[in-house]
Amino acid sequence: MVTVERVWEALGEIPDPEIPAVSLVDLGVVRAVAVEGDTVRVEFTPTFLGCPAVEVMREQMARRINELGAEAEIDIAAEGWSSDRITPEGRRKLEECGFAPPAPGGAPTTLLQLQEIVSRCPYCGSEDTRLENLFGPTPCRSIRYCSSCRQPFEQFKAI
Amino acid sequence: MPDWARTIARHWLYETADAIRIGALKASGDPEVAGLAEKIDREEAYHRMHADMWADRLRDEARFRSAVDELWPSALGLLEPGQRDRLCETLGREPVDPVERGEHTEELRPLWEEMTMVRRSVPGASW
Repeated sequence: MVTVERVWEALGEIPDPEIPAVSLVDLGVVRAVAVEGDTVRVEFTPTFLGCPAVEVMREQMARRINELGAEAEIDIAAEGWSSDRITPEGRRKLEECGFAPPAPGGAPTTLLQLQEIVSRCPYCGSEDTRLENLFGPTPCRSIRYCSSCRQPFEQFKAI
Repeated sequence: MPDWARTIARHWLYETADAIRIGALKASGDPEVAGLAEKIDREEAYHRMHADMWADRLRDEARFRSAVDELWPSALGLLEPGQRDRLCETLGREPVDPVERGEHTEELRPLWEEMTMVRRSVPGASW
């Protein structure tokens, strides 16, 4: 018999397709899990609406649930993801692999707010960093530069 | 000849008009539409900042200003008639006859042919 705990545990072992250091559960994209008989229902919310990894994540979750001996029903939740959903564990793992975690409080609404975000360099810990480019290699990341250790690094966007 | 100033003018006009449209969708009575619009709005914040940042830099350039004048009727046409006054107010511009959506230029046809070529060559394929 599949339990909700087993499902959370299994989903917590699936690496994010773009940042494999964090799991889908660390990232907060799994919103809810329910078990109804032989069916596991997962409510899921992608980081960005146009995220190209949605299908990959959906298939991986379905496969893990099938391995537990249940059918998977994966629905996209109407309520959107926010970077505040990344768990403390997820933020720690991001920083460990060279990503600055997002500033708390969701998306800034003005350029001034954006520029006032203080961000710590994940390599040397300095706060003497600046925004280099809003648009990084994927929609959810921007590029910053550390003036102290002269290293560019990526930051998860606050959204 | 592609023109950077014109690209930014189009981007900036589009984002400014789109903010008004998304604002209206956020107020929708359909919770799914309103929820999606709320999420889209948070993502769009970054697009608006990008457009505003460049528009601020180019604001006094003659090429940028003439591109904004040229594209202004198309920007108005992005919105429903009832929302167009808001765009005029936001940008401090006088209303003109809009270019309505659906009036495509001749550039669209070859672009559409190319962008849909693979899907049309093997109907129903999945990959």
